[in-house]
Amino acid sequence: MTLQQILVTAAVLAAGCYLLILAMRSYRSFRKLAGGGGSCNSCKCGTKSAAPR
Amino acid sequence: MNSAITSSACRSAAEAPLRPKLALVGNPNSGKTTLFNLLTGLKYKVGNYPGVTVERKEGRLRLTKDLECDLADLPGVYSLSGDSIDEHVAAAALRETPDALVVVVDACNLERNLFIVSELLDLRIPLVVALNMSDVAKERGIQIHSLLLSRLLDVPVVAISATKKTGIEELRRAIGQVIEQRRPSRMSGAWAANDEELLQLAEEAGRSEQLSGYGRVAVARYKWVHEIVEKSTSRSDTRGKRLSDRIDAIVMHKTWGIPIFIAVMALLFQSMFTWASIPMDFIDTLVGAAGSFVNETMPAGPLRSLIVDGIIAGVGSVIIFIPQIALLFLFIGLLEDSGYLCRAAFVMDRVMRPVGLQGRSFIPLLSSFACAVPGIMSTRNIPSQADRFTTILVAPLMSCSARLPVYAVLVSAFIPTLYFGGVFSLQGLVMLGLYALGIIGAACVAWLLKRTIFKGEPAPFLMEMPPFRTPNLSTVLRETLDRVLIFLKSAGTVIFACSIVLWFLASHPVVDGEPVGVEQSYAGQLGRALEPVIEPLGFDWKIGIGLIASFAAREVFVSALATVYNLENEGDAAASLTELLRSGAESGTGFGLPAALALLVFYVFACQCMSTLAVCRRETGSWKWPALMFGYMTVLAYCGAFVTYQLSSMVLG
Repeated sequence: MTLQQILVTAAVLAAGCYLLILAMRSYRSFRKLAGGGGSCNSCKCGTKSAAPR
Repeated sequence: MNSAITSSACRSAAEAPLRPKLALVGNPNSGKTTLFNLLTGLKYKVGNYPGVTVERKEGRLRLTKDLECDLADLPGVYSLSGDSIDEHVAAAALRETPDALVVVVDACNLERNLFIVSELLDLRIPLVVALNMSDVAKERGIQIHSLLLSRLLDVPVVAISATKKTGIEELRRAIGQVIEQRRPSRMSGAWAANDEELLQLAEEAGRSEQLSGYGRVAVARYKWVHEIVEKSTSRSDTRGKRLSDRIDAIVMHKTWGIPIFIAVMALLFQSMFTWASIPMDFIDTLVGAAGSFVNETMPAGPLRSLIVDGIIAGVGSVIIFIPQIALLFLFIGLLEDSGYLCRAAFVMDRVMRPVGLQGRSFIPLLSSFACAVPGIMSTRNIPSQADRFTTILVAPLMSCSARLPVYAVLVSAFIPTLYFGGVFSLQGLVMLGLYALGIIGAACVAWLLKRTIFKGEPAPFLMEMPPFRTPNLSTVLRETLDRVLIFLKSAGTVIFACSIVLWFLASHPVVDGEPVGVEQSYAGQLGRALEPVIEPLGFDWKIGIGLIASFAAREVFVSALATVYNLENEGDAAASLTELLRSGAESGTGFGLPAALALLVFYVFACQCMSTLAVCRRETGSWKWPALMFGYMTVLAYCGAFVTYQLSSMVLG
């Protein structure tokens, strides 16, 4: 395996893991947001509140 | 003074974990959030229209070196017995009995603003009145004698200007005094002039949150307030109409109001294409130069391909849209802060009423052009549940900023640069048309919903008109910068990572040391698997890859196409996606104008945002409504794209 191939493999693996972590985080914030807490993850508008009455 | 505040009555942050609790209360658009940001150093959104804040926001206010307070910014309320959700949020916060209240009063509308003060005095919570916009009141010839007003209300009154940051130190000192003394006003119940029956009625109205008998209470309160205003205010004769009134006569004209609004919007989209083209070309040149540099300095191989065809092509194709996004938010910010958007809401009320929506829905829908999440949140000030749910369900049809790169790349690549009258370019008009298509779609869906699920007439529309003013440039620029940074962050994280993974999927497997080609790659196979479903819309496997990738974020569609097209175009430096799409359409290797139009229509209607669905669930309290939202939008997107492709194929050949 050449150095280029090693670097490419490392970059792809790192990016893949990062996206996986992002997906898990998004799922958690999705559940929080839908449940009434948390903050909007897509636009970072600072949306944060208890569920309305 | 400061040493007095730090006396035993005040709990110091170091000694006790419990900090005094303060709440900012007042009428909508009286400048509470501007003051809150000033006092806490936070940067919450402010705007020159009522209803920007729809939920409680918390911050810390440091009064002295040793004393910190918890400060809550509450949604604006006209009275404590309102029936919209944001008004309930404010009332609930007041039931938690904070240690003191800071009542923000618009000095230009003192009489109306003092009504809530009369209600708050009855709660017997110590309070300070902040006379905001006192500079504007002075300009209009309104002289408020704050000392006299303070004596009449038996609470400290401080004249401030939150936008000009004047009177803030005096206000801090007054807050400190109130926390120290903890003495409620002796004027509680004074409006009733010892009328036991009235006091009983007021208590019942407050407890049951019903309006029975409330009319009499309100009349008595206004009478009391009127007397106070008469005593504490003097007006110099301001003859003739103010400039704001003169502008109102034009922009809210029965006939000209709507054409003016359309012209303003057309100008906005024109400027996005014409003014943004110079910085966009510059970024494009930089991206191209970066690709060429890597191509020339690195030996051929997978790493060079990853950097040039994956990272530079993918991320570069998205960051090119920063000038357009900045201009969009800059213009919306200027319109919002000048007070024009409120006028637009009034003008649009006449258009929206026939489809069953009210003007109050306009602000949430307009906010949705930035992002549907705050748009859906701001429906909280719509009291009618039917109107509110209808607005929530149609809000994602407004084209949010995430769709902008998709629109811009397809419009730039496929729509010719023709000019009408030397001013209006065809590209700008198509862009305006796409935004208009979302609005028309929303109107049709709202019309259908109001005749099926949410039957009933829209509630009457009553909205406070803020004065026209010169926009606060620092607020507008900060908002624009925030949006650009969010976009840049997305380009540097999600899009960057997606570009790497997509490059791998589009350039592998490798057979005998050579890539099999994009069509046979893993990504190509995914795209081709989707082809039977998307073929009727004129979409090929490359668009299929983009559609799958855009589930990560809509902008990823652009970077995915850039990576796929650049890999096919291997050997050259990272080429502009617009150029690649054009040459693909000409050579027949890519998709043409009918498919591009169908794709645009698909993106106008498709619901690809998880946050929107989540916030819809939260605001409606059921999964039924986000499911309906996702379902109808997907059907609309598919059918819309199908019809567009078939029709445009017939017309264009």
